[in-house]
Amino acid sequence: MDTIFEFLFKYRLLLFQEGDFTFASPWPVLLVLGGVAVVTLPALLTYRAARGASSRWDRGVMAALRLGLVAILVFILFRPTLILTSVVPQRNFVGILIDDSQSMRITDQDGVARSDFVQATFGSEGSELLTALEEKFTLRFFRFSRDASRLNDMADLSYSGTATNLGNAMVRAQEELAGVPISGLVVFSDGADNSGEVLAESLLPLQAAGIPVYTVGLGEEELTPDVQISRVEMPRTVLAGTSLVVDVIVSHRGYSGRTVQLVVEDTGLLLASEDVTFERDGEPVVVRVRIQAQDAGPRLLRFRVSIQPGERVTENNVRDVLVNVVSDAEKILYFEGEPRWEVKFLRRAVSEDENLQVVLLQRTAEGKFLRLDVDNAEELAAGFPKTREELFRYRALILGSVEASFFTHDQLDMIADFVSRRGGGLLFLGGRNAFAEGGYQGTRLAEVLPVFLDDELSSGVGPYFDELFITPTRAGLTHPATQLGADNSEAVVERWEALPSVTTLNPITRLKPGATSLLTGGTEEDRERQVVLAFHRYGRGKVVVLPIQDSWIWQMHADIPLEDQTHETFWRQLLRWLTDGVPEQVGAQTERELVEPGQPVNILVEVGDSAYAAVNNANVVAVVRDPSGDSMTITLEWDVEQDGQYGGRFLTTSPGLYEVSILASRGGDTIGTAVTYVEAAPSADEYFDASMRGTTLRRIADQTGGLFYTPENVATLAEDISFTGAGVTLTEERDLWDMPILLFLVLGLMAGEWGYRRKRSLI
Amino acid sequence: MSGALPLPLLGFVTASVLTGSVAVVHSGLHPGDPPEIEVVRGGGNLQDANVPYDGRFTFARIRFGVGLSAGSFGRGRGGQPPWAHDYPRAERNFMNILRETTYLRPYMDGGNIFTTDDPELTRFPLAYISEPGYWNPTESEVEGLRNYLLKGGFLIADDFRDADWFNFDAQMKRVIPGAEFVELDETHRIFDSFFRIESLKTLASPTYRVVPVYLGLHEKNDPERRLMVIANYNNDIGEYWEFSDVGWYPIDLSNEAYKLGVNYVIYAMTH
Repeated sequence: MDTIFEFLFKYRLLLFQEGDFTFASPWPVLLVLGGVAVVTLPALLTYRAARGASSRWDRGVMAALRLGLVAILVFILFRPTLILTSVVPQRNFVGILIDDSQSMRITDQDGVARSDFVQATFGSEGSELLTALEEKFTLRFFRFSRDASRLNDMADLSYSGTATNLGNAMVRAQEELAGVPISGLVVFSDGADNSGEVLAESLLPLQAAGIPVYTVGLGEEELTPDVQISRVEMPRTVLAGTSLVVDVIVSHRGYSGRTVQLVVEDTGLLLASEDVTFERDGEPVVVRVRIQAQDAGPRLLRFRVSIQPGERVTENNVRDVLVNVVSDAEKILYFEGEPRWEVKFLRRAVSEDENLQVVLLQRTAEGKFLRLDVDNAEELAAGFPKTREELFRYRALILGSVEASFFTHDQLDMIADFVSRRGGGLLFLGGRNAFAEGGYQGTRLAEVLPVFLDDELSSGVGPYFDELFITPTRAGLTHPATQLGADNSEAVVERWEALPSVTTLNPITRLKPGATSLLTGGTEEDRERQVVLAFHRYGRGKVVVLPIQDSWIWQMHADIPLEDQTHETFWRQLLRWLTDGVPEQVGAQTERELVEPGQPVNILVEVGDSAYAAVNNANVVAVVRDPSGDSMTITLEWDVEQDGQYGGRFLTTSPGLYEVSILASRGGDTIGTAVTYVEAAPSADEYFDASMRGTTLRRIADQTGGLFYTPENVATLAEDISFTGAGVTLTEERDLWDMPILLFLVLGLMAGEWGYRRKRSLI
Repeated sequence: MSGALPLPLLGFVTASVLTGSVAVVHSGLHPGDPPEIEVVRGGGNLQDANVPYDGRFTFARIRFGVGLSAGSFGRGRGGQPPWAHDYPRAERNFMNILRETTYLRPYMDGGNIFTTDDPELTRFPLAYISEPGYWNPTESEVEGLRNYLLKGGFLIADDFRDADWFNFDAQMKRVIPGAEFVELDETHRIFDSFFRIESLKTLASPTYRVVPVYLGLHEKNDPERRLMVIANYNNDIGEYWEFSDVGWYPIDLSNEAYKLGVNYVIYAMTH
């Protein structure tokens, strides 16, 4: 298309777009128009006056054709001209930025590696493009991957960079070329930026300086066929023994209908495997993998999809995730308002679990409390906590059958704050004094609940009682609290539906907006009549309801075999999930859990006092132990923009695991400690989402006034820069009167008139 | 850990709650013998009288066929089987006491009766067996009780003495092979679960000149673990419960019997 245009109009479309059109006629306009009138008027009059065989219509057509011919001649007489601004040859610089990252090694469908084009263009033998560029510009070469630097010899390109940072590369090149006239920057890359930085910010200085960026996209925009583990979503810290449901997003192209196996390994030990079937082409599949967090300590989990025949990139079939398995005893306060079996069986379910400490406070009679599993004689000696400090020591709170009027207003507020501010987990159990039956309507805790208490059934006469057969909801199929140790969704449904019925005194049917139901119950045929397990987030924490009174039936019932662990598993997983993600007074994490050796690690620490109010004047120190066992101490600084947040960074050196221990203190008193981990290892990031990012590269070009190319059309690059680039420019005029299209039009009009006359027999 | 309810209060409760609630039938017994009562039975089939489970604590009494002395308890009780001794007044009175002294809201009208292989028993994790000296469970009952106890059930064995122990112990060894009962003293948690029972010697056997001994069977025979069975050997707290409202036994002793019962229930419901 471009070639036809250039043939007809003498120049390429780009020149018309960039240039200004004008007439360079040496004669005054009036003189010319007068001449035109002298020629045209007699002709029109002659056509009008002529008689003979021609009709009025014929004369009109012929006059129009003749006038068209005159108009073209007049146009030519005016000397149409294109005024172009072009850069002065050899006076301007062009920065050539070459992607030196691993993804450039990928071989595309034509069997040629992306880097081959760069070598062919700029290698020792040279190329037409290089010659054309060198004729017009002084070239400066840069290589970039994570960082950017000047490139003096093409042999220095190793294509081994493990990250791509396009923005940084352009900024660096602009800085290097500061002070010289720059016509533009040319980026040879696949555009697969994985720096995580916002590209638009890097473009601002280029836009401000008016420097266009020309991007040359190397590689294909779709890598087919290929399978990739795009993302793994799992918490960075879990309690030992937790049953996790991890979301793994597996993308594919060209393998529709195929089933592949996804496996999870912990240092070679198989933890789980799941079959993944790809449906529509290009549509990512979310795979829910169930794994059990076993041994405590930092664990590097490997998620892997087997390599498929013909796959283009195999490095993106594996993804590593670092997870910190902790074996602390999560302290949970269970406050029960009356003697009931649920207490015994809940305690038994978790008694062998070293990671859960359920402290029981049970009101057995008026003003009489039973305390079990307390740490010391003082703990809860005065009954239910009366201060936030006392309550906030626990990571979760279970409220059994205890009426709202038992608590003071302040205690009700405290319980709400326990969730919203402290971030604790709150579980409401069913019972004769729970929910609406316990008078919670209109209290602060009714706001906190994920369910509404104003059910029609509740307001009936006499105590409500119903038998419930349970089933998991759609969310419950894959929720960590409701797995019952099953390894797939079908088994989850089967296990729940095989359990004996339980009973409830609290008819709860309505969820609040944003709440999630995990289990429902009803008759054997209609198991969705009422809420059995539901939750929502409330402030920093979560609130869970389990409005049944006898989950212990799942332990005692005659149909449940003696060795069955359903009841134990349910409570252990429920309480683990309840305490999962509950913040400590001092919480530490690193910005990324996996970095490359030599990369800096940002440490982020949050510090709160015993009532979980942010502390800004703490002394926060990090002790980093590197893989060789050497330690360094870093003092973290308070982030003035965020209350209670502190930050610092350290540099990794050798590959391996780095342990970051945080100690926060104030006035010599320790506030708390925390430990987090970072793994330094060579990264395979470059092979993920490694297709050529045409959109990104086009956007860079569009936003800076440059152009986007592929190897197929990059030949005109040098000329295009000379007309579109910045730097030292001159203005030149290009005649257009001799455009072939004008000759064709003249000939066409003449032939048209002659042909018309012949057809109408007017000759 | 738990403060004691003042004894006078319990005495008051005992008297006021139970007065006039039982019909005592005197039938020419020898002086000193316990009075005989009418046992309420559901047309000869006691099981029919069981109340269905509704989430409430309900007293569960174990019914069993007796061994060699079947049907002839031989002590003038008109053929009343040994497992039914004190039924239903003992449980009815005891439930009243539980309700008054604790926040437990039990089923008030007596209790249920099950054989240990009855699947329904599992909905009532505390069971009471009377006169286990005569207990001769079938294989199915042995297995039922084994599952019941190991899953989390709790058994109170009451109203037996002297050589009865040998039968009970032997049968329990069928239920839990290797079962080793250990004598409990006042330091055991069960004697401090609600009332602080200072001395186990206060309560004498109501009917025999024997010294009560409290024996416990712990999970895996480990005294640190949960108690599964408590045996009121040489004692009969059900007897005290049954007659606590008629002045047959001193109130103080009835109180002690109730205190043991309440503690057993609270312990069973928490451990």
